[in-house]
Amino acid sequence: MATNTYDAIIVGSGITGGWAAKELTEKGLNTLVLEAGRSIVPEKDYVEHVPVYDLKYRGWDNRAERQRTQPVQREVFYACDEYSNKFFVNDLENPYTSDPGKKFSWIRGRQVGGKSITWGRQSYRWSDLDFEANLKDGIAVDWPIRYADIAPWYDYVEEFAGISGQAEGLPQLPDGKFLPPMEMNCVEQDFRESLTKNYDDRIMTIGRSAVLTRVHKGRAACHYCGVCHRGCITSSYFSSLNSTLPAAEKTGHFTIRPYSVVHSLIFDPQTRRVTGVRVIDAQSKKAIEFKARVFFLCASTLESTRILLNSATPEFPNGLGNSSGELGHNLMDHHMGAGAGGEMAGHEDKIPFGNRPNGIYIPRFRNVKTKQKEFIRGYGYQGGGSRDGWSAAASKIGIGIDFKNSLKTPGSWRLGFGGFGECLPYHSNYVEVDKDKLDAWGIPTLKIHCEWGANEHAMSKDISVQAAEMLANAGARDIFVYQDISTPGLGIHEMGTARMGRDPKTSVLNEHNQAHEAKNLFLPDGACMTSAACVNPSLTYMALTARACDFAVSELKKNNL
Amino acid sequence: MQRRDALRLLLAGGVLPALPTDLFAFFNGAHPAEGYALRTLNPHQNDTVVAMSELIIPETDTPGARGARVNEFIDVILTEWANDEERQNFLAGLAGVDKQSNELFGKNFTDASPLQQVTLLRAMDEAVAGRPRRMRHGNTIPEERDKQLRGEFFTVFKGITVHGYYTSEIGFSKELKMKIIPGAQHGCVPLPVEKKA
Repeated sequence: MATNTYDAIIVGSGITGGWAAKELTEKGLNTLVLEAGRSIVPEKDYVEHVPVYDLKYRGWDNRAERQRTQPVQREVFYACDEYSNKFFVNDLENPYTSDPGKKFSWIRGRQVGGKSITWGRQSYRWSDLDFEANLKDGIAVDWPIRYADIAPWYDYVEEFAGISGQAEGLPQLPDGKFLPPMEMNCVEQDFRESLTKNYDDRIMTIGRSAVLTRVHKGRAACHYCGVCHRGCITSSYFSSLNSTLPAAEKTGHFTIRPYSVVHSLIFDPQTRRVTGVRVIDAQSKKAIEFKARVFFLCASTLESTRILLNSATPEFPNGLGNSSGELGHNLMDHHMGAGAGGEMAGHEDKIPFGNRPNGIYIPRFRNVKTKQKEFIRGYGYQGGGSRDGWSAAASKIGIGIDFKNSLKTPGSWRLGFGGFGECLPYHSNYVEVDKDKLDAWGIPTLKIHCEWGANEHAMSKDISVQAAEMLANAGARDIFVYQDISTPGLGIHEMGTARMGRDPKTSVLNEHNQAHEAKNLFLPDGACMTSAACVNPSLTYMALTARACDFAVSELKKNNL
Repeated sequence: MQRRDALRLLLAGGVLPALPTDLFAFFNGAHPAEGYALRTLNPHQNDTVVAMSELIIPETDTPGARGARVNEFIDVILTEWANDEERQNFLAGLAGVDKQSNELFGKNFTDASPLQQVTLLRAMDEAVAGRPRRMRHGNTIPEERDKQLRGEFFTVFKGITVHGYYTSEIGFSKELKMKIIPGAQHGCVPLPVEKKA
């Protein structure tokens, strides 16, 4: 059917799908976005201003129902809660398996906007410390790009998205095009000074966040309700719904089709091109095909790879474009679960104002100028300072009028932070399709094999030790140290499984996120990552997507696709 | 309603685009709804819950636990949220309060004098001396959300009372004067914060 034919098809409408939609439509391509989940109507679906007293369980969640339908998703306790569990998938409809004793928590959001609705908004640039890491360490394969290749694209996406932050001039964490930074509170400022005084290799800066600190491109400044992951009626943080999809819509070249679960891609062995997409309509469960000249897989790291694995042909029995054998392999995530917190003295007469949807950041200092014996690569810390509120007072002794009145005044100042550590790309961490286990739409699911290695465990120890030491040096009392490495996947920074590289024999994608073996197929989401760095990856996905779109359209014009 | 006031402010300041007036029509209002009929607590258990919770958070210049209908929140949780074991433990804990009251004063808790009631609750409070709060960062905190009814009875009772009160509209808006939309962010301001409407 002619109406099923477009210039470009994008699978997914999250961070990368939204960017691809904006870029391709603005360059004049008639573009179809296929989204597996439902539509989101901000006026109806966003819940950021719902008061806690309007919730039936006052934030304790509909426990029994959620334990049944979202046992994995609700591990993200701060976001998959009584307010916003609807932005996470139903685990019963979306099964997968991991190995006994090697749990992987796969967190997904299937709706227009994807996980860009609930993401943490922390936005950091990579540096050549990251892009050169594999080459210098002799691990996996070398990245086919360097900072200079992506820097102008960081500029480009930051200028549109709006990133607030403080320039610090660090080579390992390049500055961006920042909107004014949010303010640190008193104990954070004290800690920043203490760190600078006590260490010559580390600083603390305010988080670099995709939240607007002033009006930007027609979007309002943040009003500091502080719960971005429930939506934002003023579009003050970056999400596909708030930013890129409306821009795509404006071009008149944009079509989005919700409830479109992509089963697989159709590959023509004669032309060596992808010609179409097989879709299962999520409501009618009917199969439909859509055709286009160029295809962008933006379904999220493991969903994009799952589609390729499910697109096997006689020529590619182990997944489309997988002559290298690397498709599905080198799965990574950031490890968390180590850090420290403590009580900070002073400033009893002060309190933060506004619910800042952002924390502080301590950029990587390990293996930057010096070398650690115990591990390679490094980590950054995220956290913040705050004063105890009523919920902390519930465990204090006391009843009656004095107790009630004491809760009007905030309690102790506390400061804490946890690490986000780089994970190495291990070939042995991989996914494969399980043809015997199907999802609610009859599509083969994933078997995930993933565990941390010795490098991650050694780094995790250092994260908690250094956190405690820095707090002690800053005069913190009652220091609480924890080191309980997180379940892989729970960082929700899953990366790899269709890596970029220079050589088609050892990688799936080239330096433009283009499949080595299907020139009109691009994959700019987290699956493309060759290594993981230690910073939050979404900004890099945005830049890679915009860059890949620019390349794809220029190749299309040259009739190379 | 506070959220509507706040939205009106945003609208007046030109911050928000034009919004449909029924924007918050899907809100059900405060929970539980007015006229809520108890489903788990019997009249005597309810009287005991009301008396105990009001002693923990009494009426001052703002209503206390009774005025905030914390007992009804507790009934919702016991009816829909608690599993059988948690519900039985909670009700057994309530019966235990009467047992102690009878041993000490020869009457049920609700029949004891205000001084006797306070004396007994203080003793129970001191017996379960609190643990300090521990803060972690990153989404790796062990799931505490599901354990609200686990542990010693008085810890559970005080916890649900404090939670029920400060998450009620009275506790949130009247007692703590918290705003859903502060409208600005400052690292630190002097206490007490002058909260603007």
